[in-house]
Amino acid sequence: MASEYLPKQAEILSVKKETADTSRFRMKFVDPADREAFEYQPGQFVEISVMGAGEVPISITSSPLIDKGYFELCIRDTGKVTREIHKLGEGDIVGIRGPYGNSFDIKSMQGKEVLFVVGGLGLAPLRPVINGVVASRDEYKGVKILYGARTPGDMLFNEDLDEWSKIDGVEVLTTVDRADDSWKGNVGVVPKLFEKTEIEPKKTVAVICGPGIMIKFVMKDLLGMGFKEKDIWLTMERHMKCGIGKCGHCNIGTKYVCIDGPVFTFDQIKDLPDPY
Amino acid sequence: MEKVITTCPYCGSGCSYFLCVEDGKVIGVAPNRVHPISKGRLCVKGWNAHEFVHHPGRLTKPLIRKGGNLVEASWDEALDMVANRLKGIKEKSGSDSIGVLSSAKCTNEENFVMMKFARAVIGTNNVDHCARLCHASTVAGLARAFGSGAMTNSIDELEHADVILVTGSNTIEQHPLIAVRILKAVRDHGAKLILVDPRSIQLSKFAVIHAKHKPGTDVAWINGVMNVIINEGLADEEFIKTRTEGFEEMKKLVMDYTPEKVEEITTIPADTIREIARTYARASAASIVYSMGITQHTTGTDNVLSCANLAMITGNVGKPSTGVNPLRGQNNVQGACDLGALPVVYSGYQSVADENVRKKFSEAWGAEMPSAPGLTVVEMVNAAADGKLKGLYIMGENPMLSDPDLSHVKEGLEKLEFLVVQDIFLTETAELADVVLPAESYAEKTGTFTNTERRVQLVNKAVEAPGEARPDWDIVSDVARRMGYDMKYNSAEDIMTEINKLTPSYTGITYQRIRENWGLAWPCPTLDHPGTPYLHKDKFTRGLGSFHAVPFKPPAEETDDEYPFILSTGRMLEHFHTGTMTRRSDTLDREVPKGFIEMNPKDADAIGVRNNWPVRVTTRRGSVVTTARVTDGIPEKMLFMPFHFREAAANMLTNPALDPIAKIPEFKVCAATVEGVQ
Amino acid sequence: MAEKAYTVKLGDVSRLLGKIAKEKYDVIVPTTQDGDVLYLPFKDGMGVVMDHGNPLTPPKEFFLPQTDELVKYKKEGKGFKAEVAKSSLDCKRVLFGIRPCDVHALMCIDLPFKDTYDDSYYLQKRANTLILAMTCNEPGDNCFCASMGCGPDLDDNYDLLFTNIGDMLYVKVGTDEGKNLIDTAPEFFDEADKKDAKARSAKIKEVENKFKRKLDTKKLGRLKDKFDDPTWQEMADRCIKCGGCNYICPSCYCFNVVDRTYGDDGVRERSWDGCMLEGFTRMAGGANPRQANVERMKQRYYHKLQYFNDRYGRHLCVGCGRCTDVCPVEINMVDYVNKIIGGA
Repeated sequence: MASEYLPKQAEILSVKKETADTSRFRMKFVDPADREAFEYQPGQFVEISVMGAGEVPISITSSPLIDKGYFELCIRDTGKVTREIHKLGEGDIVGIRGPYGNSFDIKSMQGKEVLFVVGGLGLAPLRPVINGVVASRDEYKGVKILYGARTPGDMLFNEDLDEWSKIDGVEVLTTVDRADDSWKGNVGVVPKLFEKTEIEPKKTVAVICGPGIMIKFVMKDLLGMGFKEKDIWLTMERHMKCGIGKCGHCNIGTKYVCIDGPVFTFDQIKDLPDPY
Repeated sequence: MEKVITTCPYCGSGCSYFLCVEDGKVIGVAPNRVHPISKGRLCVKGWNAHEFVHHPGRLTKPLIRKGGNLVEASWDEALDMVANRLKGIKEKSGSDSIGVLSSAKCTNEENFVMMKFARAVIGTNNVDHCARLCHASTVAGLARAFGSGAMTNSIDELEHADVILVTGSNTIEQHPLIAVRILKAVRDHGAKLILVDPRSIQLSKFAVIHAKHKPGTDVAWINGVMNVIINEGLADEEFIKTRTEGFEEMKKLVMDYTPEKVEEITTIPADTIREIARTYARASAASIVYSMGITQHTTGTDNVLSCANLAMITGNVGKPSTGVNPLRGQNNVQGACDLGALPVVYSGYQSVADENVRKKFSEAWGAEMPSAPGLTVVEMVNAAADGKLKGLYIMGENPMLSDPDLSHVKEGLEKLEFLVVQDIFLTETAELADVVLPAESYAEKTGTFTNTERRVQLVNKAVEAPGEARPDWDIVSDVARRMGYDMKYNSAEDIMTEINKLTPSYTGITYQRIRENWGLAWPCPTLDHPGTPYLHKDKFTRGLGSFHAVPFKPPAEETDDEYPFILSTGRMLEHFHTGTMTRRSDTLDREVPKGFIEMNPKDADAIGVRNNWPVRVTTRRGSVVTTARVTDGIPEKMLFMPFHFREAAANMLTNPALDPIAKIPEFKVCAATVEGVQ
Repeated sequence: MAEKAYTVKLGDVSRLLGKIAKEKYDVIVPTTQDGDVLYLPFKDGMGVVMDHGNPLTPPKEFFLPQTDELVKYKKEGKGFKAEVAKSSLDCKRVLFGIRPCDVHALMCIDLPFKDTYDDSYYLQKRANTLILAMTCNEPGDNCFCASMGCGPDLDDNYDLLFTNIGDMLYVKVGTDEGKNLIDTAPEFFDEADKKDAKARSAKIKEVENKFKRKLDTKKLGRLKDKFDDPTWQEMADRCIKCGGCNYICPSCYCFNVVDRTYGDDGVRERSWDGCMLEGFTRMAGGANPRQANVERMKQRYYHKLQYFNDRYGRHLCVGCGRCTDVCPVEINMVDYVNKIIGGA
C-alpha cells in the first residue's frame, strides 16, 4: 500500500549556525529518484522527522532557482523534535515528506513594488520569495525589505540581507527590539520601520511573515495605509501533524493551513476566527 | 479486537471502562454506560489511560546496581539478592531496621501480601504507604469521631444533597466524575454549593458562597460556623442528644470563635461565616466534601475532626446525601488502608495493639506477630537518614517526588544499606535503588481496587506484560519464599480468599459477587450481605459520635520578611501524582508539558515577572526554577505549585513538619519567596 | 439500484452471520458485553443484538482506530529504514448493524480523507468493508439524526440495509457486493413481498415520530452571527475538558501522531485527538491560538455545523447524540445550539 505518511531519507550535507538557537540545514535526498521528484516553489514546506522524536513542518528556505541538487531548512530549537534535529550534523539522515502547501504567486506581483515585512524566523520562508523577486528585479517596480529581530544576535541571513541591499532598487531596513553595544541601527518593533520609507499602497504588494502579534499590528497599519486586501500576502504558522489536510490541527474555519496555505492573501483569511 | 472491562488506575473515583485490545496491544479506551460511577463518561486521564501501558520506558527485566550502574539481571539473581540482603539486615540489625512501602496504586491483594510480608516474613510493623501523605488525618480523625475512617456516603448520593460544602478539594480537577454529581445537583436539582478554598477554581463559578480563607486556618472557620449555628439555634438538638457525646466541651470552646474573631484569623468576612452557617445548617440534607486541602496540614487531624463536628452538630450524618466525604486521591488508597498497609493495623483496621488480633494472624500465618507500632512514611525516611533504618522495600511508590523535602528524602534513601524498588517504570526513586524489579501495570494483571466510596471493584488482565515483568503479589511472595517463608498463591483470587477469612469487613466480597454487582461497598461481613453504601445509619461505628473541642493552631511555618509568601502545593486535572504514568502518556503530557507556579498579578508585577516567565521559588528546604502562571485566581502573597513535575519538583520546597497524630506532612502551607530569573 | 428486496427471520441472523464469517469475511456485530452494547468481531455462539441503542463507541474505530500504526522504522547507523506499517485491513470485512447516522459519519470522514491527498490507511479499510446497515427502531434520548438528514432511513452508501419489521428483517440491496453476499447464503433469504415493504415503510414512519430532540437546522445559518453569544462561555465554564465529545464522535477524525522506539525498532502511530484539548493547537514555542476553552468550544461547534459544510457541502454532525451521552457534565448539544440560534 502506498502511503503519504512514509518519509523519504535525506542526508544532511552541512549545518550553518545562523543564531544561538537557529541553524540552516542543507540536505539532499539519498535516493536519486526522490531528488528528481522533489520540485518546490517559494512558500512551501516539508515535514521533517527524526525517528523516535517525531515530525514537524518546516518551510523551505532555499530557492529552487539558485540551489540545485539540495534544499535548505532553517530551524529554531524550540521543541522536542527540533531539539533532536539540532543534535544532528553532516552525514546524518532525516526523514522528509513533501513539499506541501501552496506557494507565493510572485508572477502576479510583477509590475508592482514588493514590500516584505518580516519578523524573526519569518525570514526563513520568505527568503526564497525575495530571491525569486530579486532574480527578476526588472519585472518589479521595486523591492523593500523591512526586517526585525529581538536582538542583533537574532538576525538571520545577514549575508543575504547585505547582498540584497546592494542590488539596485532594493531597500533593506532592519530593526531590533533590544539593541546591544554593537548595534547602530534602528530600535523598536517592525511596524516602526514604515515611518522610515515611502510606501505607495496602490502600487505595492505586501508580503508578511512573523509572530502572530507582529502580524496583527502590521495588518492594521497596512489596511490603514489603504492597501487592498488582495495585495497583502502572508504565510501562516500553525501546529501541524500530517501536513496533508487530515489530522485537523491546523484547521481554521473552512481552511487547512497545510493544504490551502500556508500562503494566503488577507481577503482569504480575514473572516476566519482568530487566524493568528 | 477485544474489549476488556477494568477499573481506572488514576484517582479514587473508581470509574470503569473497556480496554480495547488489538493484536495483544492496548490501543484505546471505551466507556461503559452501565457502570454505576462512570456511566459511560470519563475524564481526560481515563480517556488516555491506555497510553502509558506500552511506553518504551517500561521496565522489562530486573536491574541490579553494579559498579554504580543499574544493569539487567535474571530474576533469580535479583530475587536472591533481595532475599539475602534483607535476611542479612534482619539478622544483623533486627526486623525493625527494615521498612516496607506498600502502594495505593497496587491492588488490594498486593497490599495484603505486602503487609503480610512485612509482618510475617520481616517481622516488623514498619509498613506504610502514601495514604500517609494524603488522608492519614482522615483515617485518624474520622475513626476518632465516627469509628470509621472513610467516606460516610456514596458518590451518587451527592446528586441529591441540597447543600454541598466543598473545602480543600478542587473536585473538578482531582475527582472529575465525582464533581459532575455536584454540578448536576446544582444545575438540575437546585442544590446550593458552598466553597471554602483560598483559590478561585472551576467550581467557584457554581458556588452560591465562595469563601477564600488564609491557608491553614480551617479549624478557625469551622469553629466560627459552629459558633453561629449554636448561637442562632440552628443545631440539631435531638441528634446531638441521642447520637453523640462530648458536645458540651466542644460548645464551650466554640463560643470563643465569634465570626469577628474568625475573620481576623481566616480573612473570611464575619458575615460570610454567618451565611455559610445558615445555609449549611438549614439544609435538609447537607454533605461535606473535602480532600487534601483539609488533610495535608500539621493540624490535619484537627481539621478532619472539625468537619465531623460540623456534620454532627447539624445531624448531617447517617442519612442519605449527607455526611463527611473525604475524596481519596489514588485509585486504591482506600484499599491499601483497608488491607492493612499501615503501621498500626492489619486488614480491616484490626489493631496490632490487640493481643487477640495478633494471635489470630499469628495462627493464620504461622509466625510471631510484632506488637510494637511501626514507622510511618516520613518517619522511615527520617530513620534512614539517622542510620536506624537500614533496608527498605518499596513497591509502586515514588517518595523521591511525592514526599516533603526531597533533599532530605534523598539523603535518607542514599544512606540505606539496601534499597529495592518494584515498579513499572524507572522512577526517580528507582534510580536510587540497589535492585529494581519490573512489575505489571493494571492492564496486565487481575485484582481489585477499592474506590473512595469503599466499593471494591475488579481489575482485569487485558494484555501480556512487557518482557519479564511480573505481578507485584507474585514478586513479593517469591522474595518471601527465598527468605524461607512459605508464601504461595496461584492467583489474585486466591489471595482474596485469604482476605475474606481474615478480614471481617471484606468477608462477603468475592470475585464472583463483585463481577456480578459492579463491586460491593464494605462493610460486607457475609456472603449474602448487600454491602454498605452509607455508614453510621442508626448508630455510629464507634457507638456514639464523638465531638472534639479543637482549638485553632497556626501552621508550622508562617511567613516572615525573608519568606513572605504562603506556598501551597497540589494536583491538576491532566496529571496524576508523581507523573510516573501521566507524563508517559503522550496526550496528557502534551496537554501540560511542564510545571508552573501560580501567582497573583500584583505579586508578579512587584517582582517584575510576566506570565510564562521563569521564576525561582525558594523555601528553607531548597530552591526550584519553574514558570510563572500569572492569574488573579490566586490571592496576593500566595503561591501554588503542582507537584507532578520532576523538572520543577514542588517537594524540594515543602515542609516535612508532621501532624502529631496522623503523621501527615504539611504540604499545603509553607513560607516561600519568589524571584524572576534571566 | 432498483433491486429485489428480501427478508431474513430474526432467529436466523446469528447463523447467517456465522456462515458469512466462514466465507473469508471478518464479521463485526453489535453484541452485549459487561452490560453494554459494543461492536465486536463475531464469534460462534455470540449473541447479536438487533434492537440495540447505538453503541457508545462508534464504528469509526474500525476505520480510524483509536491508535493505528502508520510507519515502522528501524534506526541504522546515522539513519533509518522505514516502511508502511501493515496495520491496514487486507481482507474483506463485514460490518453488521451499523446505524444510518454512523454510515453518514463515514461519508463525512471520506471527504477530508480524499481531499488533495488520499489517506490510504482509512480508505483501504473503507474499501474492504461491506456496510450491512440497520435502521433504528428506537431512537435514543439524545438522538436527532432526523434533524440532520442522517436517519432514520438510509438512501445509499450501504451494501445491504436491514430493517427490523417484527419477527424478521427486511433487507434492501445497495450494491452488487451486497447481492453477492446474499447469494453466498441464499437459504436464509426469502424474497420480500408488498406486505413486507409496507411494513418497512410503516416502521420508518413510526420511528420518525419518536424523536424527542430536534435541532432547528433551518436556522443554523444564524450561527455565523453568533460568534460572541454568551452561551458559548456558559458551556465552556461547565466543560471539564475530558475530550470525550471528540473521541466518541463518529465523524470527528482529527488525530495526533507520535513515535515510539523500542531499542532500534520503532513505530510512528496516530491516535484520536480532539479540538477540545488545549494542546491541540499549541505551537512548539508555547503560543496557542485557541488558549481559552471557550475558543475551543466554538471551534468544535462551528466546525461541526458551519465550516465543514462551507467546505464540503454537508454538516459534520450526523445527530447521533453521543457527544451529549458521553458528556460528564451533560452539555446537551441540541439544547445549547437551539438556544444560540433561537431555534425550537
